[in-house]
Amino acid sequence: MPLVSMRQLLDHAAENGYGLPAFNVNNMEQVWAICEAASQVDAPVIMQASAGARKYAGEPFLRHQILAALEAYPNLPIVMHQDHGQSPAVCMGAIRSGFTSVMMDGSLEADGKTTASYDYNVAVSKEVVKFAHSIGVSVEAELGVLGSLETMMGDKEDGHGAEGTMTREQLLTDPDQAADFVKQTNCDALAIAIGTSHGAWKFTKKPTGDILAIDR
Amino acid sequence: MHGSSSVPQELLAEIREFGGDMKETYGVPVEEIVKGIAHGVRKINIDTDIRLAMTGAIRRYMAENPGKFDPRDYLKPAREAAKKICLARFEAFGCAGRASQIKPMSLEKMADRYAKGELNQIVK
Repeated sequence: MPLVSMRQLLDHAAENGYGLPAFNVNNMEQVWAICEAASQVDAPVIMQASAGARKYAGEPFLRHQILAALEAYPNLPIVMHQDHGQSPAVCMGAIRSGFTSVMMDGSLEADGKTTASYDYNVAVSKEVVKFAHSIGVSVEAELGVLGSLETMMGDKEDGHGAEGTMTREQLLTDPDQAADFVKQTNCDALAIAIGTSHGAWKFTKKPTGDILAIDR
Repeated sequence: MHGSSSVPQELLAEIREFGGDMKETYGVPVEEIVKGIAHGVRKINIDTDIRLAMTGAIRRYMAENPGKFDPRDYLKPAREAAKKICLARFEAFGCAGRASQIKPMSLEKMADRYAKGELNQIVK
């Protein structure tokens, strides 16, 4: 089976009411674990390479390990997705090397730490959607900034994330703006800020309904 | 959904039991993610849970087998622990049995569908 577009899996999940875990991969053991599990229960696979993974293993090692999985598990539909691309150029590079899905994170500027304006985000996301869709590659975008509502700090994780103190408005995506963003960019998936943060340090106490169901 | 690892308490406990130093921390409970899926969440990023599972298994193995030094010996339980997390998430999110329902579409076909406007987002 060839690598598939993430959009195809997202549409299937939406039509059938389920969710897709997207696992980050850095080494053979993780690729093996994900595919063994998927193969055992007949599950579709999204494997993604973060900026940290690209720094650790290098893009060729990541790519070839996912391609190895394709060969070892010919019955699994597999998406090779680039997590948190910091610029259209990074996304273009991933597409050139065979990724079937990319994330353009325009919530931050190209330095990966300065929060970007809404107009900047729309512009770069649109640009990536234009060239990616023209060759059938899907695009995830991001609106809002991930960080902690306990500390109001951005979350720097795996070589990527906002630095400094954030406002509540930045840490919680506005639903109306999200609708406008999707309408303008036609992205395939949208990551939103809902009070969660990357990494192991999300909440200092057990999250209850009032922490997880947030009004903005 | 980003920042969506569940940070299972039993994995933190295993890491602490075998010499790790993990302060008190919580992730997003799997049942809350499942509620999110019912409301339209489709992609759930998982990274930290696999890191914790592998580290717990490696710490345990090394503590229990101080004479072993072949990386394959401790990476085997590590990848099994990671697999366990993957199985649990695939099952909880409703992915089991879905792979064989999907007929892969080439990227050329997807490009064609984008060009025809078939995949345009419908925003209410």
